[in-house]
Parts: sequence; structure tokens; C-alpha cells
Amino acid sequence: MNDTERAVITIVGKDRVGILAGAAVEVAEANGNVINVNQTVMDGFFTMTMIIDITGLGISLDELQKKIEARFPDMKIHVMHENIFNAMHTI
Amino acid sequence: MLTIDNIMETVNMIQNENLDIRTITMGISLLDCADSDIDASCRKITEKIRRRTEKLVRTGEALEKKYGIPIVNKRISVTPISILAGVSGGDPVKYALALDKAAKEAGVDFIGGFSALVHRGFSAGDLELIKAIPEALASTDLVCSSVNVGTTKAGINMDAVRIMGRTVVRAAELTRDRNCIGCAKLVVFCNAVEDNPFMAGAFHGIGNADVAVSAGVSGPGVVRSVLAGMPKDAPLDVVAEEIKKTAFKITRVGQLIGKEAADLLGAEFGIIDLSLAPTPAIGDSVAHIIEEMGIEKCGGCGTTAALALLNDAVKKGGLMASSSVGGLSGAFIPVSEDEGMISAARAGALTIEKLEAMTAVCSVGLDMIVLPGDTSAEVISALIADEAAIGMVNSKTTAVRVIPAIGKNVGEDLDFGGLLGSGPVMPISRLAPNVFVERGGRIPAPMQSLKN
Repeated sequence: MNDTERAVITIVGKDRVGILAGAAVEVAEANGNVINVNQTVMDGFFTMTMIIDITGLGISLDELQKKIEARFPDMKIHVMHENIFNAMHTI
Repeated sequence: MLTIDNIMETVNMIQNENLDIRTITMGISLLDCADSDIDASCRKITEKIRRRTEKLVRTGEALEKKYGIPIVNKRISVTPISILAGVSGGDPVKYALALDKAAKEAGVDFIGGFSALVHRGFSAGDLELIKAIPEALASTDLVCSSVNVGTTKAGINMDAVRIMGRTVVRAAELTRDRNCIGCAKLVVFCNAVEDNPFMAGAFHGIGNADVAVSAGVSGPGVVRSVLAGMPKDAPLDVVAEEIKKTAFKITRVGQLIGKEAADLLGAEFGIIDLSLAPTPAIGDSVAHIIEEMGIEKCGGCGTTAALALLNDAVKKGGLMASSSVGGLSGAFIPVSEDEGMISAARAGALTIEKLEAMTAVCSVGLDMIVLPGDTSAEVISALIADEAAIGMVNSKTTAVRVIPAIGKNVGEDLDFGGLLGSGPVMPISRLAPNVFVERGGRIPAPMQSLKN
């Protein structure tokens, strides 16, 4: 039985130095644990999905999203609970 | 499954394709608020709604943040007020004012249920409520009203149909300085359902639990996007299959949020209405799905067939995705709320006659259609009778929500703003059905009613 709760962070936009690092710092400060990161850069376009364990998260998902957005205001950022992905993509 | 493709697909649907939860609607029974003293009844109603909806808007907002998906509307539906009016007597407008006040306190967008079910005839409270509808809608902002005039089992109450034509005209007259908005909050039904979460036809039927939370999802943009990604020579059964799979995903989101909202609010989970509900926003149009399927403009020949395919595929996909599907569940074709419909109507490609044919294969009916301001009550009654006949014979829900634009004619527009959108005045036959409508009585239940 999986008792951990997870969330997914997605960041999309123009590539530059420090995106992954910046996101990871915010997650760590919020007491989230990174489980999986998937990142590609194609023609300067950056896409990242990061799955984090939020069982011990000290702030809300919305607050975490706002903190990451504050670091990278020009990028499209989402922080969403895993249930929505599981619901949509599993029979 | 948390793969990068699935994740990005979901994010894309929400961010770029207008996927959202159109509404979470809390249905509240007011049967325990009935009282022979109308003022006491109104007090009980305001108190019960306040108690039950304390956390409704906040819960919606919390779920929006948890899942990153907009929940556009939070709404309330209540027991058909004609029942309470029947118990108390007095002026039903008082009930409308109480509902409006309660809805504003709760912070919701609309409250539905100023309604009467008269398909078999009128009983205590019904006629009084119907007479009060125009004033009730003119003196409130958030109250929605509906009247059910027919069912497959009962036939059509043509006395009620005659009265409702006049009621629609009166509702327009009393709100003529506000774009006749009264009529945008009034629906005349055949085969009305008691678990519909969408306005203006929502009411909390008496077969329901005391409180139930239902949800409606909105995903025309997502469906259109999927179609746009398919080759133009893909056969229609392949198209149907893709729509079905997409409807599954869309409905799953509604199920997730509807169920969690119900749990958080301590209410029964009602239903997911898997209707594809458009909005006037760009990219959120049902008409554009029809056009993406390959018809030059929505309203041209082939539209009815395309809509039949779409409606059916949405149902099949959505049914698997939810434990409890209900409401209207099909494709909506509200003219003023769909960017593609508005454009097709303005261009003359989409006519009322074609819309009538389309209502035979999808949900809702003749919805948010603006008529010339001098359209007679008899013509509107006859239009209601036509639409009710389609619903009655085909054992489906149909409805009429039309807005006579007082002082305006074909070539002009009416703009309600917001989700109610805007629409061109559409031409309608001016031939007189007066003798037919004045006959009243009942159109008997058809053969299909004998299913036992």
C-alpha cells in the first residue's frame, strides 16, 4: 500500500542556468522530497517534470507554486497533486 | 500513471485547451423548510442554505489549488419552490428574494430551483409560482427558474405551454432595460431531470438525498484539439473512438473533484454531468468541433449527423470514467455561449430550424437563442410545444430558453456579458399558431410511454 502522497511540478519555458536547482531548493525548503526528475532542453526550450513526495510538506501546493513562480516569473509553472494524473490516465 | 507524456498532456489540456470544471453544484433539499407561514419558511430556507454552504466556495477554491484546475462556478440547486409555495400560500416572489439573499451570502454564481413540475397538471403552488416568475427574475440577480411541461410518460400539458409563452414574454418585458436578462434565467423543459448541475435548469428533485454535490466538466477545447491533431481523412468511427477516449479523461477529472468536494463538504456525491459545455471564450466551442469534423460552418448539412456522433461518443467515454453519471450528459448547443455558434448564426449559416433538428440528437435543446423583440407569446408557446414533442417522442430531455430582445430585430445583437455571452437576433417563422396554442389541453403520451 502506498501511503505517501505525491505532487507533480512542471516547468516549461526558455532555458537558462539554474532552473532545476532553483526548483529543487524551494522543494527542499518546504520539506518535500524529490522522487523523480525528467528534463529536456530542445532548441533552447526547457521542459521539466518533477515528482515530489509531499507527505511532510510544510506549505500548500499553491504556495509552493507561487514560490517557484517568484523565482522564474517568465516560465509556465504548475504544481498539482498526483491524483489528477492518476485519475485521468488509469482505467 | 506518472509518465512525462501523461503529465504534459494533462497540463496542456488545462493550460491551452480550456479544460476546467464548469461547476460544482450543491443540491439542498428544502422540504424541511416548508411552513404554512411564508415568512417563517423563508427564514428557515436562508438559515439552512447558510449552514450547508458555509464551506462550499472555500472548498472549491482549495480543490482548484490542489489540482491546478479552474472550478469556474460554484452553484446551488434547491427543491422546486412550487412545493413550498403550495404549503405556505402567499407571494412566491418572497421565496425568490430569500434564495437570492442566501446565494449572495454563500458567494455562489447562481441558485436554481424556482421551479414547478406541471407535466400532469397543476396543483397547489404551481400556478402561483409560474405567475410570479417574471417578477421574481426581474427582482433578483442569481435566481434561476424552470418549468417542466411534459414527459414521455405523461404527454405534454398544453395549458402550461400556453402560459409559458406569455411568461417568457413578460420576463423579457420586465427586464427590457437589462438586455431582457430575465429570460436567460428561465428554462421550459420536457423530461426534466432532477440532478442537473447546470443553470438555468438545475433543481434538487425530491428523490434526492438531503444534500448532494454534483459536478459538470467542460472540455470542448480539448475535444477539438484532439480532432485537429487527426488526419483529415480519418474515418468517422476512428474519430468517434478518439472523442470517446478524450471524454473518458475529461470526465475522470470531474469525478475526482466532484467526489472529493462531496467528501469535504459532508454531502452525498450526486453525479457527474459529462456534458461538453462551451463558453464564449476562444477555443471552447462545440460548433468548432463540428467544423473540425469537416463541415464548412456549423449549421450546414451534416451538422446533425456530426453532433449525433459527438454526443454519443462523449457519453460512451464518460460513462466508463464515473461511478455515477447523470444530469443532461451530452453536447450543449447554447447559441450565445458558444463562440462558433455566435459566428455561424451571424453569418446566417445556423438557423433556428437547424438548431431544432440538432436538439433531437443532443442534450439541452433550444438554448440561449435571441429572438426578435416582437415575437408573439403564441409563437414562443408553439416553439416550446415543438421542442417538447421532440423530447417526448424520443424519451430525452429537451428544453427551451429563448430571449425575445424587446426593441431589437434581426441584424442586431444582445450582450449579457460573462458566461451568458452575447447573441445575434435570429429570425423565426412569423406564421400564426394561435388557434393551435389556444386549444390548450394535453398532447397525449405516445406509444413509447408503455414500457411495462
